[in-house]
Amino acid sequence: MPKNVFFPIILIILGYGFWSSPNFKEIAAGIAIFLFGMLSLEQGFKTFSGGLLDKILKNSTDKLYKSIGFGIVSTSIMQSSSLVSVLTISFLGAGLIGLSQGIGIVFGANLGTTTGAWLVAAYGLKIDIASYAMPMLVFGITFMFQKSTSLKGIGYILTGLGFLFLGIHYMKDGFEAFKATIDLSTYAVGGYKGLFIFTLIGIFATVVMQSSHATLVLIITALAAGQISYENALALAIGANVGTTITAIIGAMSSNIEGKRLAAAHLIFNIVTGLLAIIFIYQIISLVDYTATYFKIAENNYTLKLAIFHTIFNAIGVIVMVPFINKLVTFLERVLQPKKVEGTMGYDTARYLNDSVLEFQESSMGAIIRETKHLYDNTFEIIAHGLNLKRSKIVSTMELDEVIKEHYAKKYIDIENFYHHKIKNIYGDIMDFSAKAQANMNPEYIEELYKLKLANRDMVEAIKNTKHLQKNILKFSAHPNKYIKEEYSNIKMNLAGLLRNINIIATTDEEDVIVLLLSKVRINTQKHDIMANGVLDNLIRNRHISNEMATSLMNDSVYAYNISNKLCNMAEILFVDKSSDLHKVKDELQITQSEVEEILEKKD
Amino acid sequence: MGVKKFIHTVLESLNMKGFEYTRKKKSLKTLLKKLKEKRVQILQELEFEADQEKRALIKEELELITFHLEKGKKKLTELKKS
Repeated sequence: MPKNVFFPIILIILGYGFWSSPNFKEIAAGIAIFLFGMLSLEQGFKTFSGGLLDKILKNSTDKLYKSIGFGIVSTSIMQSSSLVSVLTISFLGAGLIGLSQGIGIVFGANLGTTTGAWLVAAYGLKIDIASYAMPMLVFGITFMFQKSTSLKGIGYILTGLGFLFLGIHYMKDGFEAFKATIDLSTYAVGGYKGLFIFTLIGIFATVVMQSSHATLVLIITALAAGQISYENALALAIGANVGTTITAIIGAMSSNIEGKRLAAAHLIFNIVTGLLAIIFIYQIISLVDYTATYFKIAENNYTLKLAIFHTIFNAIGVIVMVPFINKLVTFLERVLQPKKVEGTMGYDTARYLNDSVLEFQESSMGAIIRETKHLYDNTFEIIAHGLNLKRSKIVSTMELDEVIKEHYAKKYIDIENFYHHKIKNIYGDIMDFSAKAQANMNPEYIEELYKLKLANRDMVEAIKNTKHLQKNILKFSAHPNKYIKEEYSNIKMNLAGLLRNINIIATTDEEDVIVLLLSKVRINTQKHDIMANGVLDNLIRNRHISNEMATSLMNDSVYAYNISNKLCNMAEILFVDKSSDLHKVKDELQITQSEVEEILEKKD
Repeated sequence: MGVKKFIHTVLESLNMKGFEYTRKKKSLKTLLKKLKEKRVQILQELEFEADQEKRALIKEELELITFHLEKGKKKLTELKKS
């Protein structure tokens, strides 16, 4: 409802402004061009960030100081804290970084964004930047028409910069002309009252434009034209800092709980920083004056002083908040919790698939891997419980013959029901997300993605085979015929062993262990295939089991073989880290089917 | 000139065309080193294990690791030749 009212009001105000003042039109056009430039710039950086930015983000945020540094550098280069914070939210949503790392990046981005004020204040107003804008636009558009993605990206960046410069030029001109007709500085309000009023105006302007950068440029140009007082400009800058969190909040709406927590952290940080700046405004102004004198900046150069103020109060915010990051994380985790589904068993949904990472192939691949691992957790649970085994016992060091004696439930669980609640939605979401992500991936990634899709399918098929196997496992595990009972207990024990080994593969980083266990599970799968090893023939020949039992055992051994095989295939794809040495030589070192048979023959 | 073509030309001019092989060789060497260490560890385990059933399992593991070491060494020689 408020959105429906808000939009027409903005249009009416703009319409009235254009009709009543040609200078207002020029300033508004300047803002519009500036914002368009920012969009183009973001688009350009996204072209390159697909491979580079997300790789750097993934590898250089393991320590807090690195996260902050990354936030500062990336925002300084891209001149958009919004892009960095939205990207961070999507990374967090995809589970590629932790909340405290994300908070570090956002803190850094707040500092990095202050470089924009420096650039505009130091160069933007002194040089005739519009003269640079025209060639940039011409070159930019020419590059944009090229086939190569890299050239297109450069084109977007050049066009973006061109429009940014042009926007600043129009804003500057508009305020200069405005000065001749109306003097806005007569509306200046002094003291704390003025501080609060102009902070609110700053918040409002940034929320409308969704860019603190645009607000800040507007403030600097108005200040340079003498249309607002220095004190009020400072308050507007504080407001712009608070208002900028709206972009992150909008970005977090489509994200998961982690993204929402980060957006909340961003809001808390900016509000605390803003409040500190308001409370200690006169002390900060003294510090700005001292710094300006130290750097030999003229006393009346208020635009540069505003840039200093912007940097100082954001730096104070970072210094004050950094010691509380862990407390902030704990607080946010307590306050913002995922919605719990009512009922005995809720429908599990995808946790890491966030559409905002679709443009970044590395990030979308990371999200799909995490989600597939989530699916694996549920698959493990269903297969274990389907075989009436306790997960905790499987992953323990308990002897396997003891593990199979510990039953999960008295009755067998409904695998179909579990499948609908814990697999179907996630599997569907992974397939849907993969199809969308594939459009932005290069052939190497597409090949990797194809394998991951196979791993997902293998898990689903393993569950379906467990469903077929389940009934007879329960029936014959307690059967009076000791031979059939023993065979089904063996099937159960072998599958428990397989789940245990795969769990070790899933949780270890030691590549030698992974190599050995992957081969071991392959060999065991073949070794325990009773159709191939002659056990079934012996049982039938010696009439130890009835024909009906033999048929069941034959079918069920196929199901058990399929479960093992599918899970082995899945583990080979999912649990060999892409950056590991093993991944690079997987094809060279992996055991082949003929080698498995050769090893087993030697033993016989 | 496209970026990929540029990289390709630079690699060629620097005689780094076998870069992929070098990376594979390095990874294989690292992995073989880890497997060798693991083998020593398993041998020590076998020495101190008295239980026959457990000894059989350890021996199986030892056979498997020996198989991988041999396979890996063979591949490494092939990579060196190419």
